[in-house]
Amino acid sequence: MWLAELRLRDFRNYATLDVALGDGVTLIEGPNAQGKSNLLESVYTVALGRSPRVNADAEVVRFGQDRAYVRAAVRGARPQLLEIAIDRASGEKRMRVNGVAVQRGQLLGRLAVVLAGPADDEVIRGAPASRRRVLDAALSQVSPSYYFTLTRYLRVVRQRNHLLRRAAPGPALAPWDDQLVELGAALVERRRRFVEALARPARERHARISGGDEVMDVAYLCSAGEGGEREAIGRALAARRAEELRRGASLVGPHRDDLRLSVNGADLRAFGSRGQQHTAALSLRLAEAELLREELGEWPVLLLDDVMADLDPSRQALLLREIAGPQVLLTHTGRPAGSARMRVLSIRAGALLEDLGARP
Amino acid sequence: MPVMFSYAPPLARLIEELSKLPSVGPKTAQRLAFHMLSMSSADAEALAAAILEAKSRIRNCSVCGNITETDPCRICTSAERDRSVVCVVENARDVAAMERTREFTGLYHVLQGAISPLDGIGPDDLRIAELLRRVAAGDVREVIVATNPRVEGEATALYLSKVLKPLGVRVTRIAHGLPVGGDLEYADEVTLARALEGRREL
Ligand SMILES: Nc1ncnc2c1ncn2[C@@H]1O[C@H](COP(=O)(O)OP(=O)(O)OP(=O)(O)O)[C@@H](O)[C@H]1O
Ligand SMILES: [Mg+2]
Ligand SMILES: [Zn+2]
Repeated sequence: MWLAELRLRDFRNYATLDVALGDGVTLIEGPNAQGKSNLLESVYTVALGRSPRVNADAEVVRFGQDRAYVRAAVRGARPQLLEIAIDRASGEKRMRVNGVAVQRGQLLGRLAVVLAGPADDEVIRGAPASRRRVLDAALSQVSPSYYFTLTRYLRVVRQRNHLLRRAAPGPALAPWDDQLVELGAALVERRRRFVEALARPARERHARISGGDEVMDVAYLCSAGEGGEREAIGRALAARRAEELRRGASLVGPHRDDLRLSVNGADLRAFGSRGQQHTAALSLRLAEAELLREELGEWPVLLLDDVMADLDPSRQALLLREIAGPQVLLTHTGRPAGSARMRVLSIRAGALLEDLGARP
Repeated sequence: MPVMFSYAPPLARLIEELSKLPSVGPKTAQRLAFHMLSMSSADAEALAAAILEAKSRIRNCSVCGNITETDPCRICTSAERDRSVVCVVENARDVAAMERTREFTGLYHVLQGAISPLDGIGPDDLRIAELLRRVAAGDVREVIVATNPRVEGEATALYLSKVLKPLGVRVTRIAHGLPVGGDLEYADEVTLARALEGRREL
């Protein structure tokens, strides 16, 4: 699938933008702070029903305005029109598909996207939550039932934590324990399969971009330990009941799991060089795109923000070869080697250079 | 600073009362209030009288908890209904939804909510003791738990099965052909009827 038309109204530094896009690679070019990343953010927001930056939904409204609006015309097997409007004061979001109001769960997967960029530093180096978000965002786009299970699971955890903080007795906790095990096991099982499938393409991509001898690996780390999901979570819950009551929080389940990323056997988080971390993050995202394609039967849209910046010219050229296939929106402050035949959008202060009456 | 505009007190009070209603925000409350002002006196009196009459004549059935004009309610006293099956629902609207399917001929038990720690609602805040008493009294052979498919409804169902089982009664849960996260109230009749057919042991 690909994004054919994008319309922005009062989104970040864009007052109005209407742009038609092609299904290949588009270079979004411009100096710092012109709105290149904001453009990619808008695509992500209309596709997933929220900004990729956590808790930033109301921030996307242009300074001094009340409401941001994004509209995306999607082409591919299922052409459709997606819209999102975000109100600054209330933080309220309204989403529509082909003009019909929908909930977030009904929006996901209609315009599948994979975003790679500076925020992936967090994925590599940050807390486990940012790595879980990679899995949850990908799987939610692949399967509505994953998203619904996740929503229910997180609600169960909140309900259960509330009881734990009040030192509730076993019978009161039991209905929530049961659901935590049931829903949690379904999530872990689905994530495990996804990560297993992710490992091979990630390793291959990483080897190609790094030009040889680095072996990247991705593994799922389950807080409940190994074994059948339901049994493992059930056992861990029983074993850690006292600790959970003392700390007033649910300590077992997919909301405590993690992803281990390593190169040549060493954990990237602790031992990776800057360049290794960068290449690994990129490989992970490209592998994710490949997996989404397998699951959805269509390429997702690749949003590559600033990924060229840290690569030397030869790695830049290798990367451009890696991204043949899907529609790609690629931001860069200039024109990287090998970009001669790309469609170029020049962005200046929240507007297209061509709309400003200038020639790029 | 602009001078704060305020409505004449009687109108302001009407707006305030209306905005206490569920899903009525301040803007809607204003619109409704102005609409009411434009109504004929007869219509306005009819509306006020309807509210007061419903309030004074409708109460909860002392057996099942459903809303009723007579106590016990018409369902609880009907000779036509199968007294060996009780369908447990969260609220009176769910009874109405179930009745519209015309598939269910047993009795009801309205819990008046679902377990939700975050809202401060535990088992003791629901009409569970009343249910246990009804079941212990004898006639009931099966309890069908038709609480909502949300996690709160599910927790309530799991809790009920634990406290009902020891009484030797069969406990089933309606199948979730229902939209996930949805309310019984909104499920269409066909789905509900099918859900009733495909119920599973709890
Ligand atoms: N809500 C908003 N309203 C108006 N302007 C905003 C808003 N949020 C961010 N901006 C502006 O957008 C600009 C940053 O845009 P963006 O991050 O897209 O830059 P960029 O072109 O990607 O630059 P770089 O090359 O440095 O990554 C900043 O000037 C910032 O002030
Ligand atoms: Mg940027
Ligand atoms: Zn009754």
